This record gives sequence, C-alpha cells and structure tokens, in this order.
Amino acid sequence: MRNKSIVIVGGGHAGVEAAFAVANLGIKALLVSMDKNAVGRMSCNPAIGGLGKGHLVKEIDALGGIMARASDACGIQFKMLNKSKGRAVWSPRAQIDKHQYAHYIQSILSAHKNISIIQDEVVDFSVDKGSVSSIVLRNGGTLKTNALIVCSGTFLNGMIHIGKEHYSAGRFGERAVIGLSNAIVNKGFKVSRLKTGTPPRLLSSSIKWNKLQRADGDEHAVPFSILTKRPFHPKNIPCHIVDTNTNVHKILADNLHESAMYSGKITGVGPRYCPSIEDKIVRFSDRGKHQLFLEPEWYNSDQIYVNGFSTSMPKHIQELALRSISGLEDVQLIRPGYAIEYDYFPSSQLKSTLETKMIDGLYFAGQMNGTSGYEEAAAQGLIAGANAGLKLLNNNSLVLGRDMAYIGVLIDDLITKDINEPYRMFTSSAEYRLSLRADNAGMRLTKNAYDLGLVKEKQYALFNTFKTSVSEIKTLCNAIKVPIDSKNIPLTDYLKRPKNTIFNCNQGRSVLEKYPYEAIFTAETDIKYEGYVKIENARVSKLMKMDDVKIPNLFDYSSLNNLSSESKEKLCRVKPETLGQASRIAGVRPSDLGILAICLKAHP
Amino acid sequence: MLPYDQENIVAIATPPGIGALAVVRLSGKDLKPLYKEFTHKKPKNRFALFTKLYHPKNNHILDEVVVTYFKSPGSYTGEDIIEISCHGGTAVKNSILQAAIDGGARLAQPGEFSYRSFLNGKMDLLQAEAVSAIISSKTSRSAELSLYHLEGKVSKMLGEIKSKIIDVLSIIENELNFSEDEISLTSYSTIRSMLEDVQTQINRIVDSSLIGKKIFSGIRIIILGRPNTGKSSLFNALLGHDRAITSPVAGTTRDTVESWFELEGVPVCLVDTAGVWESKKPLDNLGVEKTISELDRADLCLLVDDENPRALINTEFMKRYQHHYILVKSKSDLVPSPSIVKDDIIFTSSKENTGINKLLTSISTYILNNINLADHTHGFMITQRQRGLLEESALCLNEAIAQLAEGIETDIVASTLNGFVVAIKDVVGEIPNKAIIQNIFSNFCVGK
Ligand SMILES: Nc1nc2c(ncn2[C@@H]2O[C@H](COP(=O)(O)OP(=O)(O)OP(=O)(O)O)[C@@H](O)[C@H]2O)c(=O)[nH]1
Ligand SMILES: [Mg+2]
Repeated sequence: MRNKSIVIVGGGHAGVEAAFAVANLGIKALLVSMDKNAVGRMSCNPAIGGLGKGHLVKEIDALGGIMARASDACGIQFKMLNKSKGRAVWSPRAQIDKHQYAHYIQSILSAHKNISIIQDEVVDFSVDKGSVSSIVLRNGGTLKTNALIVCSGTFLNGMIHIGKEHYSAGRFGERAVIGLSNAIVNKGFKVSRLKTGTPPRLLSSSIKWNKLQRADGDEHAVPFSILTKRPFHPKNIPCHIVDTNTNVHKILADNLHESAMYSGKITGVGPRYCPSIEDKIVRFSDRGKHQLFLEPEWYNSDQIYVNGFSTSMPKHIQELALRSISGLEDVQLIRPGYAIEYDYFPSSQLKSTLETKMIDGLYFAGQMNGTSGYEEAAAQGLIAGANAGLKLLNNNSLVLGRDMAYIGVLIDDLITKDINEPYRMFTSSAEYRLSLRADNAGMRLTKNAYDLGLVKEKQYALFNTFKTSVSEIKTLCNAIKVPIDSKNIPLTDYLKRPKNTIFNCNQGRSVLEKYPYEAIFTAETDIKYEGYVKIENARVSKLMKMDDVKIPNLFDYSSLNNLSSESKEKLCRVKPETLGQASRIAGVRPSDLGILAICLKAHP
Repeated sequence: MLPYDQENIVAIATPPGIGALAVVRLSGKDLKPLYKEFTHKKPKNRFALFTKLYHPKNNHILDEVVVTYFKSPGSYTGEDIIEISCHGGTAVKNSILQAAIDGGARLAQPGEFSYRSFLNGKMDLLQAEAVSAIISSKTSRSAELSLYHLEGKVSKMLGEIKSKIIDVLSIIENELNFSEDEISLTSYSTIRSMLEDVQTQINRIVDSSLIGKKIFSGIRIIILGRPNTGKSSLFNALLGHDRAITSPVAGTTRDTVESWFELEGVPVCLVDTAGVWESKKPLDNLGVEKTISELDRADLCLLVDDENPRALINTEFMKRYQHHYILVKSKSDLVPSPSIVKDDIIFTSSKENTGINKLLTSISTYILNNINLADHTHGFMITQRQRGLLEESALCLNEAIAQLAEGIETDIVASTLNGFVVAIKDVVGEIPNKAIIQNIFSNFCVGK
C-alpha cells in the first residue's frame, strides 16, 4: 500500500473522519484544506450529540472514528437527553470547547503517520477509464490519486446572507470554493442549492447572567467513547435559558422584508427542523415565546452562542430584537447571525458506499450530500473513507443495513429519499429503533469494524471486556431471585416490568454493583427490551425482505412499459441497488414494485 | 409467475357450455390494427359496433357480431381491449379465437387479464383478491361481498383507519424527536382515547369478518341423534335427493357424510353422522370421536329423535356444544297425535315429506338472525390472509393501549403501533409480496 493514496477534500468533520479511516486502513490520506488551522473546526453550535445525533456519535466511536473521543476530551458539559422517555431514544449530548476541539483533532491527525495535511485548494480532477486518476491543485499542480473523497461542506459556491447584504464565502471569515463544484458538474453530476442558518454570537460580559435561568449538565456524566478513561469527571459548565417575548416577535415581524430569506434573496431550501427565528414566529404565530439557550463556545468563553435564534436579518434588527429580552438589554453582538446558501449534490447519484454511481473512486460525504449537522457529516466521512480504502485493499465494503445502525438509515435515506431541506438524523427514521440504542452501538458494530481494520487493538480489547461484563450480568440476572408477592422470581423477570431496575432491587444491587455502570445499563436494557425487539424485528423483516433482492446496475426501466410514468422517472433517476431501496423511494407505487419484482426474476 | 410481456392476448370470456351468446376478449398494447382487420373500420372508444367480422388474414366473414373497443388506459386491463359478442356455438367461438390467434394474438393464461389490470395499477390487492373470490365463490352472497371489495370501498376504509393511527404515531414521534425542553407533551389519556376510537372500528370489522368468513366458507349444520331414528332419511329429504344410505338396521351410517346446498345466498354444509346415543350413556361408544369432532366445527345442530328429541339434551351434550340447536321429531307420520310439548319441536316425516320446509325455514331464520347480511357498512375480509392480518392489527392496537395503561415508554408503544400500520398495509397490498400475488392470480380462470 506504500504507493497508494487517497485525496480528501475538506477538513471539516466529514473530511477528518474520512482521512482517519483511510489512514487506519494503512493507506496514505492526503487531506487538502484551504486553511490548516481550520481543520476540525466546529463552525456552528458548540455542541455535539443530541437526539438521534448522539446515536450517530456512539456509532462513529464503535467504528473506530474520532468524533466521540474528541468530544469527551473537549466537552465542558455532558447531558443525557430524553431521559423521561424510553431508553431506545436516550441520546447523549455535550457542550464542547470549540478551540480545544480543533486543536485536539489537528494533533491526532498530525500524529498519524499515514495522514498528511496539504494547505491548498482542489480545483479540478481527471478521470481515466471511468475512474478518478488525479487532482489539480490551485497552487500545487497535479497530483496522482487512487481515489478522491469530496467533503467540502457548505463551501461549494457558498454565499453568505445577512439582511440585504450577501457575499461569497464558505463560512464566516473563510473563502468559498468556486472551481470544484463546476468541475463536478462538468462531469455530468446534478447539483442543487440548499441553505442553512446560524445565530449571532454575543459578548459574554454584556449579558446580565443573574437574570437568566441556569441549566446544568448531568452530575454523573457518561462519556461518548469507549476509549475514554473511567471514572469520567469532565467539567460541568452551565448553559443558560432565556425566553423571547411578544416584543421580540413584533420587531422581527415588522422587519421580515429585511430578512434575506423572506425577501426572496435565497433560493435554496432551508431546514424545517432547525428553523430560523423568523421562520418560527411566522409558523408558530400563536406562541408568545420561544426558548433560547445561551451556550459558551469554549471554556471561559467571552463568546456566547444563541441556540434557537438562527437568523438572516440585518445586524441592527438582530440587536434590537435581542435587546428586548430580559437580561440581554445591553447585549453586544460579536458577530451577527447569517444564512449560508451552498451547492449540494442530490445523493441519489451515490451508492451505499458513498461512491458515485457515475465515476469509480469518487466519493461524496457530508453537507454537500444535503445533510445538516456535524454528526451526520462525520458519519458519512467515516463510511466514505472506509469504503474508499477497503476498495483499494480489495476488501469487503462497509455498508450498514437499516437494521444495524443509524448510519445505515442515514445513508439509505439520502440515496432513496428526495431531499428538499437539509437532512437531520431523527430516531423516528429508524424502523429498528428499539434495537439501535446509543448504549449498544459497540455491540452492533465494533466486531465487524475490527475485522475490517478500522478499530484498533486497544479499543477492541476494551470492547471485549465490556461485552463480557454485559453477558456475565445477564447470566447473574437469571440466577438471582427476587421475592415478589411471596414468590421468588428471577431478577430477569423482575426487570422486565416497567420502572424496575437493578439498582432499585437489593438482591440485584448487592451482587452486581461491582460491575461498571455502563455494562449494567446495557445488560438491564437488553433484558427490558428483548421481547419488544423480537416483535419489532419480525415485523420489520417482513418489510425488509425486499432488501435482499438486488437490482442489476444497468437495469433498463424503460423496457418495462407498464410502470407508471412517475415510478419510471424516479427509478431511472435513483437507480436503486435493491428492491428494498426502490420501495422506499417516494412516489413509487406498490403495484410497480410488483412488476419490478417479477421482471427481476425474469432477468437474473 | 405469469410471463410479463406486451403481447396481444385472447380468450373466451364467457363460461364454457352452450349459451346464446359468447364473448371473446382481447387485450394488448395496441389493438387498433387488429380492430381494423376484423371490422374494416376505424375503432371508436367504447363504441359497440354491429358488424360482420372478417378473418384478419384471409378476409373470410366469420360471423355477425357486436365489437366494442376500449382504448388504453381507460379499460379493465389498462391496455387496449376488444370485446367480440358472437353467437354462442362452440364452432363460432373457436373460429373467432383462431382468427385472433392468426391475427397475432396468443391464448391468455389463467387470470392474465386481471393480472395485467393489477400490474397496470387498475386494481389493488384487495380488489384482485375479490376478483379471485368472485370467480371461485360458491354463492351469490359471497359474490356480492366480493363486489363490495371490487369497488375499493374496503381498501378505502382501511386506508382511513391507517391514517388515524399514523396521526397518533406522528404525535408520539414528534415528542420522541424533540427533547423535553423543546416541546410540551401530549397527555397519555388523549393518545389513549384516539387509539380507543380506532379500536372500536377495527373490532367491528373483525367481528363482521367472522360473518364474512361464514359467507365464504359456509355454515356447518350437523344432524345428531340415536341410531336408526331417521337421520340419514332427513339428510336426504333436506337435500332433495338421496345421498346417504338409509336402512332399518341400526348403525347403518358409520362415517359422516356431508353435502352442500345454498340457503339465503349462503353455502350450507349439511353433515349426517353415525347415531351416538346408546342407551343412557351418550357420546361414549365407537365411531363417536368423528361425531364429536364434527360437533366442535358445527355452527348449528339438528337434534333428531323419533320419540323425544328434547331427551337428547343432557349435561354431556351441553358440555360439548354451546351453539344453537333445533329440535326435530322424525317419523312424525307414525304418531298421529303427538304426546309431547311441541312448541319448539319441529315435526317431520321424511317418508311423506312433511315438515321439511318448516325445518328449512327455521334454518333460514337462524342464518338471517346470525349473519347480518344487510350490514355491509363495515366491510368484510374475504380471505384467510386478510382476516389473519386484520386480527394481527387488532392485537397490536389492544397491546398498545395496554402498554400506555401500564406506563410503558412511548418508544415501545410506537413500535407496537407500527405493527398495526404494517398489518394494514399488508392487507391492502402496500407491501409487495410476490407469493401472494402469484397465489391470487393462479386461482383465476382464463378470460377474466
Ligand atoms: N315411517 C317412517 N319411517 C322412516 C322415516 N324416516 C326414516 N324411516 C325409517 O327408519 C329407518 C332408519 O332410517 P335411517 O334414515 O337409516 O336412520 P338413521 O338414523 O340414519 O340410522 P343410523 O344411520 O343407523 O343411525 C329406515 O328403515 C327408514 O325407512 C319417516 O319419516 N317415516
Ligand atoms: Mg344413518
């Protein structure tokens, strides 16, 4: 593998994971970034994880990725979200020191013998016999490569909007990438526009903190990564909560025409789930207030992130609105919120490995595939990097089924669903939600990742210890008897009842408390969910049987005259890899799937 | 599976045998050229043309016929269709069939017209199953129910139920997707009452589906009594022809004998059994097992005796059988003036054929009372597959409601409710299943 190398474009979360995965497989990773110091930068909110996203971070860790360990190292507040709901949807989240995070990532990458960071810009690439062969750098000339992974985030033809102002940029204070997008389009790829917003940053000393409600993290923090040392005692820096009010809403409503989004300046479609504040006041006009979280961007930060107030209003309106909030009367903006509009490449052009269907050795990952969020980007980067590397090694590819991982759901959704707003991971997208818990990510993924070479010995050993503990605990739960209604029942049966835990049962606690908390939690949850998981699996596998039916690459849909024209158009465009994927494409009729099923039988 | 091609297909659509008229039907992607060859005229959509029919190749006149052209996609199959109504003689029908084949069509496979219709999105799975059911239906009543399906009403109703549950699911999902800080939660009782609303609806369908099942699979009526009391004679009298062997020797009928007839549009299976009442110890001698198992399957029981049928009702019998029964006194011609109370006993004589109609009327009344045929508003599930899935969906719903009551978390409740949605989707064929499709269409006969 000495002479083989893979070029990764972009040093965001996708690019970082891609480079790390490639390097861990023993292949040279050349990470091209316009600014070496921007590698690993958290460009938006100072937090990692959250509902659905926390699951992704745990899976990234289980696959040997970097995001989880970095978050543990740089987290300044940890919290398990959704604890009032079922354990399958519990999601870890952490506030992160952004500065420390970028440094941490950069130091891990530069310490890796297979990774080189090149400060330059990829402006074009060449294809030889259907495969990527070389890249063209703006300053560094031409470079041969075995594969190219593009992870250029919001940089492709990026355009920042603040009120009526707009200018070309990749992120605040960083240049956009202009040439690469055209190079991709020139190779025949379809491109479209998306937009996303970011809130203003406030000067900490201008905030009257004592007027705000304090929000602390969990007292007993649980780390993301299995590699992180236990016991885990991270910082627990509070965030603060503040509400908007009708005055704020009125100021925004009166100036809607000034918003880049509402004045029609932006053509890209924005996210429904992480809406701008102007979006919120229009759509939920009956609500008198919206909650805002003031989050420190790093430890002892003078810069405060206003979670929930993403906006593309002019700066003076942003100021006016925020100053109508109690506690923010004198607030100073370090930087206004803005909206960014960028090119994305509809992912129906990708295979499940994230390689493009059109050009071998070309991979896309991250926000340019239409996703939002660090975690979604990182997950794709890891998969793209792993697959690019595994292909060079002639090894099996890493394709995670919808039954195996949120990452599998994410990528399958990207490929089959029409995306008209940035895609965010939700637990409700997972059919096998009860099996895909955050706490069991390692159980689901680590063995396979180790076999492929992505997970290293140290992590694998820790994982095996954990796994052994879990199975010992389960065995003991069968043996330990608990007296209930004058009968002795196995602890396992006791735990199956709602609200019962090992810790609220004396017999269980006294025997099992010597085990690590996380192993107890996983064993206990496995026991609680076992019955439900079985039922869910039986039900969903009925739906997923179609995933086993492969559709040949060059299948000719136009010959199937009886397909409805809508189905035909969708199938021709997406070119699903399996009948299952075909069934998940919106607008493809069941009867058309019947036809397809029959015709696939006919041409084996 | 049937071949899927674009060829022109032809079949005789009317049942075999001599009828006054027969219909030959063709379907294909483009039948305009063939139409012109047949009629020497241009086709007009949905226009019935009275014409001489020409052989497409040699121009011989085959018959005077009515030809109707249905343009795609607005036809039964979604393709072009030609229907030729001709005289019913076998020779005529066959010569037209041969002419169509000479004109490039091939003989249709069983069910192929409906199959094309299904594949062209002209009918959903429930409708396809209805066609299959009509073809194989035993009685007029079952055909009627199938037609109800054919109109798509059942699919529509299930669709509405499904979307109600999806509404509930979206409330739950929304709460799972956002943290406690971001949204306020809907109360369990609100969700519960939404579910209970659907539960009532589903249970009604499940109940009426049992009736639907009877209409398709039939009602079983068992004749029970002591040996030599005239059971087999009554069996024959009810059927109107001799089927079971009768004789003066007790114990003539050794095995059960069954025969079908139709009453009130419902198929009825009449079962004659070996006499089982030996002295005072009923149901305990040889050959009884078979009779007992028949008893388990029966919907209605005729208790026959030439003395006092009421005497047959004892604790042993009551233990084995809880459904409806009718008391029949046989050989009434032998007793000029009956000595027992007769209000609820029907007197019959198989020999003189008296009381038989009264007994039939009594059975009809039972059918009409127990199968509310007028009440089609809830729709019936006509196949075993549909009923099984519907019951599965009802179980999921009951389970979800119980889970909410127990305080089980909503990730699990959502999973259970998803089971409901999948079962309903499966009923209406939103989950493509090759085996089922194949099964349905293989039941079809040529020309449908
Ligand atoms: N007079 C008269 N004789 C009848 C009548 N019905 C049956 N019998 C006679 O009764 C005898 C028994 O009749 P079956 O019909 O064989 O009686 P069964 O109950 O089926 O007898 P097993 O099968 O042996 O139990 C025969 O000799 C019949 O001719 C009737 O209505 N009137
Ligand atoms: Mg007999």
